[in-house]
Amino acid sequence: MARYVAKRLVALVAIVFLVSLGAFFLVHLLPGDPTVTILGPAANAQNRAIVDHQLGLDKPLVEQYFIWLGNVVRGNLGQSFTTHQTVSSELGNAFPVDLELIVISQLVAFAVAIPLAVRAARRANTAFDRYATGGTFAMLALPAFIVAPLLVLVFSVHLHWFPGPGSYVPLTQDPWTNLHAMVLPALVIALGSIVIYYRLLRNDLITTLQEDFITLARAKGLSDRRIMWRHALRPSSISLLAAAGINIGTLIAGAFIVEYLLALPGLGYQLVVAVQQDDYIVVQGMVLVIAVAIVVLNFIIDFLFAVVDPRITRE
Amino acid sequence: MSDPAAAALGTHATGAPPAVLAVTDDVATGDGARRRPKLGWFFWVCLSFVALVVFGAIFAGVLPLQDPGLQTATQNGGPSAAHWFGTDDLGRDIFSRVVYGARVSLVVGFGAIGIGLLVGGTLGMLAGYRRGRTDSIVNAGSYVLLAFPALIAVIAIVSFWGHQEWKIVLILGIFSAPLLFRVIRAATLSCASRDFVTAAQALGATDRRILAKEVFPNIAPAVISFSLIGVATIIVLEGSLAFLGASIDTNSGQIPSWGNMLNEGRTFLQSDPWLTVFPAIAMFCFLLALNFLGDRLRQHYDVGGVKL
Amino acid sequence: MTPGRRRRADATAAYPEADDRRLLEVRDLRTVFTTPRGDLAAVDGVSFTLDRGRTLGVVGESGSGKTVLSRSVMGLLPLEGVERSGSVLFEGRELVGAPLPELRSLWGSRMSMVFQDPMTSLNPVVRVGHQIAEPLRVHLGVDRKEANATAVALLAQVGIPSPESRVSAYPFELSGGMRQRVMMAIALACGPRLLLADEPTTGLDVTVQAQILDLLSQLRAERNMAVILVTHDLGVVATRTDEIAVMYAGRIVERAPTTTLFAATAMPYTEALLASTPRLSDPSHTRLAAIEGRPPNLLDLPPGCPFAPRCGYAQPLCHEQRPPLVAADEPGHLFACWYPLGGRTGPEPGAEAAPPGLPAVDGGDDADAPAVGATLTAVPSPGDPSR
Repeated sequence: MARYVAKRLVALVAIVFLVSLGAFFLVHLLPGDPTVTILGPAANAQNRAIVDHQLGLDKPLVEQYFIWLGNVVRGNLGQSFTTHQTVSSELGNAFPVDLELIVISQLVAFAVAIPLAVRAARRANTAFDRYATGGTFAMLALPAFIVAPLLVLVFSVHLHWFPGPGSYVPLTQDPWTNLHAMVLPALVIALGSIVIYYRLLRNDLITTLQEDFITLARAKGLSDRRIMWRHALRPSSISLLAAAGINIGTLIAGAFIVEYLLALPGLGYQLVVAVQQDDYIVVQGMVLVIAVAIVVLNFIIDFLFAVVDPRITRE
Repeated sequence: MSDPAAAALGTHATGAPPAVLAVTDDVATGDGARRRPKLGWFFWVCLSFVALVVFGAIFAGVLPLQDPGLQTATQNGGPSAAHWFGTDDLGRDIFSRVVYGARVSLVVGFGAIGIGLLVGGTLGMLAGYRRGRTDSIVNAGSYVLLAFPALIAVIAIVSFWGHQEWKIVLILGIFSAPLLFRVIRAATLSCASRDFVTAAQALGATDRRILAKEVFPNIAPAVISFSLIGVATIIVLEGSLAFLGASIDTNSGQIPSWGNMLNEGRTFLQSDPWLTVFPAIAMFCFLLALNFLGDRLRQHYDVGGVKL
Repeated sequence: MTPGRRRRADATAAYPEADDRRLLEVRDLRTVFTTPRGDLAAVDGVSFTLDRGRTLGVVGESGSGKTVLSRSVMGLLPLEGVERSGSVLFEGRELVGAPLPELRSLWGSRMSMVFQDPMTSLNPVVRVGHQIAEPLRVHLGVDRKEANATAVALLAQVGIPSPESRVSAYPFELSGGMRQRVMMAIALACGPRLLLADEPTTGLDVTVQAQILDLLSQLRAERNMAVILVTHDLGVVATRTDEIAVMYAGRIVERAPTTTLFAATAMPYTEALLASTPRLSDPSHTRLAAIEGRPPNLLDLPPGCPFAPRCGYAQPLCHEQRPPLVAADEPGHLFACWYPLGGRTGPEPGAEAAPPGLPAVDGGDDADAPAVGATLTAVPSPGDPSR
């Protein structure tokens, strides 16, 4: 077991290193000259040279990379040109937003998808199953950029049930407004997740229900309900958790379209804005952090799997 | 007198069923003979629809459509006999724009997946079949690429490189390659471990021949179904890009994709909803059809969800 | 009195503890599956009775309908596409047509089933003790602590060493034989009157098979249970049953007390089964006397006796008319053959079958029924298999 963990840790470090390389060099493909952005109108050649030197932009690229890397390891991700806040603090502001969004949306997704899938699998191919499966299938064809504005149009503009985009307020500041503003974004994301979880769980359950131990459970005189929730769901939940892990990993930055459309200042939103403003330091730092977060998350999932099923470590 | 039964059978004999094994499965367990799920009528509906859209996209120039760039006087008009889907704020016919837009969206979708298959697919087959050092390296590489928030990278690259259609196709293709690589590698792995491949090897077949004749036909259904879903994903991705201004630049006079149209239509939602509604419907139906086809094919060929 | 034999104090109070009633009476049971290719009668008119403390062996090839029979007796069939008709009287209560909740209250508590493959029949992610305790908690309302203690006691009963530590094991941590014992513990938890064992030893090693079967006999004797032992293996039933029913194409083609069956076989199919079992006493390279041909396609049964196409003694009548199940001279012996073995006379063509469930004795009132049971117990023989 320890060997397995050690092996994976080494891989983790290597991947993170490669990701940092990617983040750095990718960003330097961005057009625009940050010096110009900073200086604004005062951007003549002389000032530019000064600022270039200050930022270290006159050094060779490779050297810049290592300087940056060194800073990163010490926790200094740099500073935004536009907002003049440190990247770390921007990350710190953005992270709770994403966390809340993910937690709420996934809770909703599980709360909807699991009972739905259980019911559908129990009576597979009946009307309920067909409608549920068809309905979730249709949701696949509704991208976030169609659903989000639609929901806003209906629930915000016409019905005034929820506040419109841009009304985010931190949880600590005003819980009610915060939650109120979170509903629509969480809903949009939940819809996507519901589709994934429902389909996975339904199919997995149907397969599990064909197993012999389910017949034994029936022969014990257990009710359908008990069989579904206590016997069938357990083996199936393993793959559900795996999917959840992957899904959450994707959502860490993948929610950015929703964030952008609904003006929710999470990681994705900040990232997009930074790209649009050529704020390369922010982009660099954020891409790195996000990618590392995803890799670490996958690592944790793999680790949990190994705990649950020791056979994996013998690979 | 000994027990006649025991005498009849000698010592306690167990194990051998007394007769030729039967053919029918024991029906009571419910397993029975597992039949292939039928494709179903809706499958053919979807297939026809996809074919129709593809046809329209390819032959758009030849079809009797109005000029998608022609600005007429009827601005923000609703659906009418002359303009089936209405007109936009510059009086351009939405119907023809949707059809031409299909061409753009489809080129991006199929093109990107095509590139992804070419790069990721071949690598996947090789890695899955040969294993060893090459496999580990390429596999690790795919891990790294997959960890990237790809969309950001795409946005960055597009900003730098340019908004032309072919560039976007290329970029999306390269970023879809890792996923296709993983899928095809997994499929190849499970296929290559089967006996008929070993048999072919024992007969002295070259790797190329085995990959082409033994492996490929067996993984083809999984690949096709996954690719169809991949096309749907790319089309959605392109739409997202459009919303962030990182897709095809319509100001330069190029025909917008569906995603572009949706983005443009956002500002006119109150005044001219048709600008959004029709492309949205078109996109929805097409995505639905693609997903359904991919899913049904997967079920029909009994390909389980390939583990990544 | 072992903890597992607690009496229940609830819903079944409607029916008195009728020990004088016959435990199980099956009359003309039919189970028909609706398949796209037509209706398939997997069980086609089966009748028998069973008393407490007796073991009935049901023998047949795969596809003979024996497993469907055991499931049909319980009622453990798929919910759709299956029609069950006839009568199954369990402790005087009619099971055919009974609503599912009522059947569920019986399953696992008054009648239990042991399945063939212990590897797949136990839930892999639930601890063994929990699986045993479950029927106790669900049917008898026993609390968790007590149920756990009972589970430990049951494990000991079925012969699993160090049950206290085993009770929290997962199935994959146990060997095949132990898993089968766990299955039996589950089946016995609530002290059922009837145990249906569906090929309980087929998936096990030979040495383990004997142990399991011995355990089964022992438990049956201790608890005075009725056991239906379904198997394809004559060797299994030879020494451990009181009565054997041979099935073919969904019907019972011969039924007799065990010793009678082996000593005075009437039906050619039974004879063929006996002959085809390999014996250790045979010299090596003895040809297996397999029965020619295959079991019939139940969707397309030929007219006449279903075994006729494969029967070495078949006559024209056999291909034309289906022989009824009639009684032989020996008590409790029924057979379905126009030209039975052993110098018997078969039934007249066109003869009526014996009234279901009873041998063709005159009268047919219940006064005769105990006689059958009495005759079974009265069969004397030094090597009494029902010991």
